[in-house]
Amino acid sequence: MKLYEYSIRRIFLLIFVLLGVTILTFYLSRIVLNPLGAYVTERTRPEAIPAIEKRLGLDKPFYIQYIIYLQDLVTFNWGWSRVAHMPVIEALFYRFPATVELAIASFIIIILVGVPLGIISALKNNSVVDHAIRIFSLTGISIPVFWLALTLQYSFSYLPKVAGLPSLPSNGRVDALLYQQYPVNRITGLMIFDSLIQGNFIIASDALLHLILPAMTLAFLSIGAVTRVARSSMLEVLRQDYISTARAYGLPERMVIYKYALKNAMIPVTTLSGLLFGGLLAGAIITESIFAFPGMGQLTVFAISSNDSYTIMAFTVLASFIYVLINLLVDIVYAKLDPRIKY
Amino acid sequence: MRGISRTILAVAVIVLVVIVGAVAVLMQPPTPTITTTTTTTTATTTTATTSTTITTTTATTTTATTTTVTTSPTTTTTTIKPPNPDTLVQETIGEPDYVDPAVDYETAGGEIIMNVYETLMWYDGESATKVIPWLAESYQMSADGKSYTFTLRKGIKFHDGTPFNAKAVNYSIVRAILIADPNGPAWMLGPLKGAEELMYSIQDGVATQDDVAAWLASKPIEVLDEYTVRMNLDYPYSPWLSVLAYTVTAIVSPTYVEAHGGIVVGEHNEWMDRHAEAGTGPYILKSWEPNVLTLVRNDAYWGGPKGNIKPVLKTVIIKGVADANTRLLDLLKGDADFAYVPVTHIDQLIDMTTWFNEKKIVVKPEVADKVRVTGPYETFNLDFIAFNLNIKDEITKQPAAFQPFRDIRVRKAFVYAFDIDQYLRDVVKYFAIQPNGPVPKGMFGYNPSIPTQQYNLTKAKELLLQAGPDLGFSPQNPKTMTLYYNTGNLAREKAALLIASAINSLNVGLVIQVVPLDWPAFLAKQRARALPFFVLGWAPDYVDPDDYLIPFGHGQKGTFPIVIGYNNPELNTLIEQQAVEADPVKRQAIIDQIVNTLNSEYIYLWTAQATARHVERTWVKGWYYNPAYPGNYFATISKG
Repeated sequence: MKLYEYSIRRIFLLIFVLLGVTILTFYLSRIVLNPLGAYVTERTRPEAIPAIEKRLGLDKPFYIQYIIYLQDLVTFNWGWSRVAHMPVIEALFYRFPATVELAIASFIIIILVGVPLGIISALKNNSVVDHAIRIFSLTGISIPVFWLALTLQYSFSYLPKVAGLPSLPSNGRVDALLYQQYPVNRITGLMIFDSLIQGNFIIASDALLHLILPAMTLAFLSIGAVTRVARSSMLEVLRQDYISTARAYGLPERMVIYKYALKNAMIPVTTLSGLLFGGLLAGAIITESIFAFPGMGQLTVFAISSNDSYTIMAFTVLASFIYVLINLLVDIVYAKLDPRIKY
Repeated sequence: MRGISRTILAVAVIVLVVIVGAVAVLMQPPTPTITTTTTTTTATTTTATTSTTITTTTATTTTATTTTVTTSPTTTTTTIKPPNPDTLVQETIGEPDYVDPAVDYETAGGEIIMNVYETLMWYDGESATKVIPWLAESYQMSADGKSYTFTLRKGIKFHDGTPFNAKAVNYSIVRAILIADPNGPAWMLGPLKGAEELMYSIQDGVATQDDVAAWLASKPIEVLDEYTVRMNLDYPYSPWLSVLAYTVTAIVSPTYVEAHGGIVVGEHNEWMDRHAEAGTGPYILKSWEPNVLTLVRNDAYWGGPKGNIKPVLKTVIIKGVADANTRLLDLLKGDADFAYVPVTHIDQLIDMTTWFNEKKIVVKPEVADKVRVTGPYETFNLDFIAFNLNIKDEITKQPAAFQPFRDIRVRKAFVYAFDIDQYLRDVVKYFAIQPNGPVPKGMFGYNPSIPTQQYNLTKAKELLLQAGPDLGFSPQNPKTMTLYYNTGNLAREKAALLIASAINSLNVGLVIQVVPLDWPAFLAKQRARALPFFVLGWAPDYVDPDDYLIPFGHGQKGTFPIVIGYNNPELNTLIEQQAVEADPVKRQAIIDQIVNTLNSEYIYLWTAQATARHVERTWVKGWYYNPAYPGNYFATISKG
């Protein structure tokens, strides 16, 4: 089978995956949660409730409710987000680009730090450097996010600021006052990208500064995983016959490693980073909350805690769509990286 | 072997470095040396002792620091200059639901609305009991109390340039009624002629265009001339002027609304839900991005009824920051001017020993040069436990067989069993006071001479042992009851657990289990009258005891009496009497009678009236507290 045939088949299957996800989330949101919860408050007049139920279609049989939901889903009528105080689709339009920006920033850090550390660790196998890197990555995996976020905030934002030194912003996406003076038109919603193409370098650099601490927090948690996978796969590759052959030919070690070993060692790392990126795109709940970063994770937390079923459902559909899509992309990249893989 | 020992060594070294680093970072006290040194340079007029002690503290870090720094706040307050004197940053939790006065029914939106829009009547400065004509110049009540005529101020313009006049008043109030959001505050406009009926039929989806036209033709509001407007009520209603001070009656620019979607009966205006830029108030909502609302000054503000309100701050930024530690750090480093600091974190700013012993807020010396904490201020939020006199089965809808709360001895015993002191001390850390009835302290109708409920476990046990045989429970034959609260409210959860453990410890044959329910489930059970007793809170809509006496006391109209099956015809009559009584002295006497009746029948256990505190940077000036405000009024505030 050709790669494009495979891709088409996978995209076709994607529809069924998403359908399954919608059935599950819809079922949960209607049965486990009470969708009415997003529409009644402590002050709702009990007599007004039947009318609300009617308006939401909650008086109809379950399968009809689901069909209505599907219709709304494909026509992008995703309902009103009570926590974002705007239509869900608009809320995603506001929030998702922020998460994408944060995901890209932390992904870059993860790859730029994680992969080299893994390789060094493998090459200096069982040395002090290797142990140090392994402990560093273990720390990353086991450290509580909130602690790391607060510590970074304290050391890079609070301490320098009170000492009168230049400091990093501790929360938000951009300085609100600066943004007021140098407004940026929303094109893609990616603040840095939008401000750069509009020639607004003040906001671009401010937004970049705002990204540093949350991106570092998020990255630190995943660097460990990438390092460990890069290390073990590199070690495995280095033990392969063809590497010994290459060495026996007298090729320089540098060439053996970077030309022959690295490419193959990166295959598992690709899979892992694809999934990591998918996870990052779904939003980081704690990091976004502590840094008051207006992304998907924060919205979802608010939605879950206030029983906002429309937002939760939109989020699950979007997140599963991203995961499935990224999985597909990873598989395609796989085939490119490893000619032995045939679909 | 060598490999292992090297690994262990490496682990040990790195762990040690991490721990030492972390401890060093976290333990460092948040007192910047920079600010203290500025004191020495600028505070030349202060006594020499201050400067000498400071030099000693920088030279040697002895225990003397604690005593010396206490003197520094008074000298340093003036030395720290705010970085942006024209801009105020407020960090808080939660965003508005909406910023449309017709539909918003919570405090975050209310704060925006009260700064952007204005009402005919409003509170006079710090007073929550006195409403004065605001956009109105004067008013007159008819002799029968059923109609109010307002003369409006002239020359006021909305932010979009539209002149403020009687048509705008009519338009704004009619608009709130026609939207008739069942979750919104529009119900308060119910006393207007025919309004309640119309709103119910709109909410039920049965109102026709003709119904609306007929209602408008019945002249609930009459525009008499450009600057005179009359409101006609269905019945005399003494809290009406307080209703007219609530955000739902805020006046919006008709031309602006018509240009942005106009009025659609029974539906929100989605533009107005998110935009507040055509009021008459001192600020304009410039933008609402996720987590960040920015208000800018209305340079053409008319100055308020006394002509003395001249907004100073050019920009007010209201940021939603969910994490309390982040807010605290921002406050301490000067990035935030106002911050919401919850009870769980207040010990980082104030001296808790003084607070617990003397109920006095004293800011800790190490932050006193930066942070001011004021309070406690009484809010009008009331927490209580209600006893159901007619418990029903949720499924069969029949009255349950076991009805303990029909017996006054049981209700009384439960009231006696609640250790109010422990609750106030351990749960709310004294950021609440014990109410003496449904009317909160600070509101008209509150009478301090009415005694509070008492804690007496011995009496509680006696009463329950007496009542047990009659109701069919005894230590040998115990009965189980469930106490419900809505999930997520920590104070209510603790109150529930406290009374449950007290009753259970008495061993009288009543076993209380505590169950949290999420809000819809709680509401469903409450509507089915299936909650035997429950912990809940009540916050006011408009500042009038009526908004407490009806919900707590009126057997036919009151939210709680209906769901707990309490109907006392005499009390209903008294409540109706006080609502139409225009003489404050006579009204107070009736209110006292109502409160005493409710208390003597032990229908409710009053657990707490919350008190608030305000946290700001020391460079902020002009803030004041008014419990009737949904938030901060920025027009009087300045920095520097």
